[in-house]
Amino acid sequence: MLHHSTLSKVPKESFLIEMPTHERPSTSRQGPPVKKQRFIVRHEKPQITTKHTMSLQHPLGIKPLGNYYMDATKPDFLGSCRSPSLGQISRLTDEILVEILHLLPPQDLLNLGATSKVLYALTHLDDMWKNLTIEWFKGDWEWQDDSWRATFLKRSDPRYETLRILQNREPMKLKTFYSDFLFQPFYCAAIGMEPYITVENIDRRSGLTLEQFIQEYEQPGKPVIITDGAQHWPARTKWSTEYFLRTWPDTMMRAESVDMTMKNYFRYAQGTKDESPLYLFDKKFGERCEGILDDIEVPVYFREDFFGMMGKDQRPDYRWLIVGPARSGSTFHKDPNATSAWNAVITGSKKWIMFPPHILPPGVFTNEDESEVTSPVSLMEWFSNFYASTQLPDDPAERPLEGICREGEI
Amino acid sequence: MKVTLESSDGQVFTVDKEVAELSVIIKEMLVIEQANQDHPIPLLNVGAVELAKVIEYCEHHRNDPTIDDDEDYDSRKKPIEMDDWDKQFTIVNKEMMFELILAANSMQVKPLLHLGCRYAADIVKRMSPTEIRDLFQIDDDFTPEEQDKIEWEKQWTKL
Repeated sequence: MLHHSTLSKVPKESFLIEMPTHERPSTSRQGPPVKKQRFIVRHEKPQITTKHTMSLQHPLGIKPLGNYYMDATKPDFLGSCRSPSLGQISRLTDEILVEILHLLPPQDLLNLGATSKVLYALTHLDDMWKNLTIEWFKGDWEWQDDSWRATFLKRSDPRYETLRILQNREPMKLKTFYSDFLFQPFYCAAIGMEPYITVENIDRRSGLTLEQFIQEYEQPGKPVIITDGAQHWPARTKWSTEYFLRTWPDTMMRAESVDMTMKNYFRYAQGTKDESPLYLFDKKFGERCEGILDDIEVPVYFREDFFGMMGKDQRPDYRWLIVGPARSGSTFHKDPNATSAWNAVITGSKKWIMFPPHILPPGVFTNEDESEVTSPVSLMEWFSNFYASTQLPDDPAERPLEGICREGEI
Repeated sequence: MKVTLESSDGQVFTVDKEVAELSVIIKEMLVIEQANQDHPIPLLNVGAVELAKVIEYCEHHRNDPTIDDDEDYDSRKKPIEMDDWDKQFTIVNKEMMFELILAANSMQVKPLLHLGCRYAADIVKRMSPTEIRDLFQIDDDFTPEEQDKIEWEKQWTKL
């Protein structure tokens, strides 16, 4: 029942599994004691970020607004191309223009993109093409290396990618278009997690007996990373990108709102530059991936399982396989039904940040009964805008709990 | 209960509170300034012409059920129900509609913002780049090389 957010950060190709939860009657103050599990395989791609944010170059040459004032001091300053390039519609903000573009079918977006430089840039915002791809083709598409736009066009016409490669079509570069609204998603995807992973104040323990675990962590409701929790699992030696692709390439898995094959998901996860990549989160992996349950086990600390009494068919969802590239993850939430979760990382690593249940993290808003939560559009946006403020209090007790769950840890 | 609103050019409008509250911004201001209703609420970004039009819209839609937040793209795609009144309302020139979109955006009158965006999207549907440039006085600012690139990209518009 903590507000927590999770995110991966390891730059190498790797996987993680996450597993999850339970609460005993004695500690359950907020609701029925229940137990659920969560399995995460997390796939990560080689890191694409540069070390110096000053040198971040948007692929289309879009610059943040602040650069306008910097450029204006240079003798060869050309001004902004926005007004001539948008004519009468330059009255509208980039945000409103994108809102309008979101309403258009692909044909019209392509026409608009061929109208002027700034419209070219606006119609390349990849989020639009992500929505179109999912709306038109659900999970039935093959990721094309650089974008949702290329993925969509290739899916619509197989000749697209071949011709693009043959003709060496690079995107156009704008020199004098300044837009925070368009720069932000790129920036959030490119900055990387390094500035946000130094604090590790969640206890890291090994050799815990069941009694110690109950006394020190479960009863007080305190998070802990059990470093020897899953080291001995068969999954630790078996699971890898190659293993999954070899064993279950055409198995349909759930990634957020779409069902897609394992093969297609991994291809996407390896290539995506999304600010918040689709996160594979599958509750039926036990049935879908034959034999996979033999690779994992419920640790001694979590064997008491009250939902188990409801029977397999009646109990709420309780275990998941989770796979995701860097930057993917869950935004702040409280787990439902007063459950608490345990997560096992198989490959890669997972960053956790948690606030006490009564504290609303900065940048996060809820309605009265907490049935609706509003938060920044991506984890990276939250980290870049709000993380620093969480480190301000002098009293460590007022700062969030943070930790990194690494391979074989729970 | 009545509230008064003041446009950027100093014109004052008196409207029913429930009408004004279609604007999320005004609704929030009224919560904060409950006690202080002596002054009109200043709308620094909205001129009298546009404000009159926004109020006309809000008067007509005062009893509509409130629309839930529009953050997820599924709901954004849903066609907006336009009744005959709305259709009549949107018979304005495009410059006026852009000003209305900006007013609706700054006052956060979400259904009107949606209506305006839908109207703007419909204008450019099935238009060629040349037609779009002519309509909005947009410069063709591509270099010859870029033009070549663009020609290539345009071939995918037949899908």
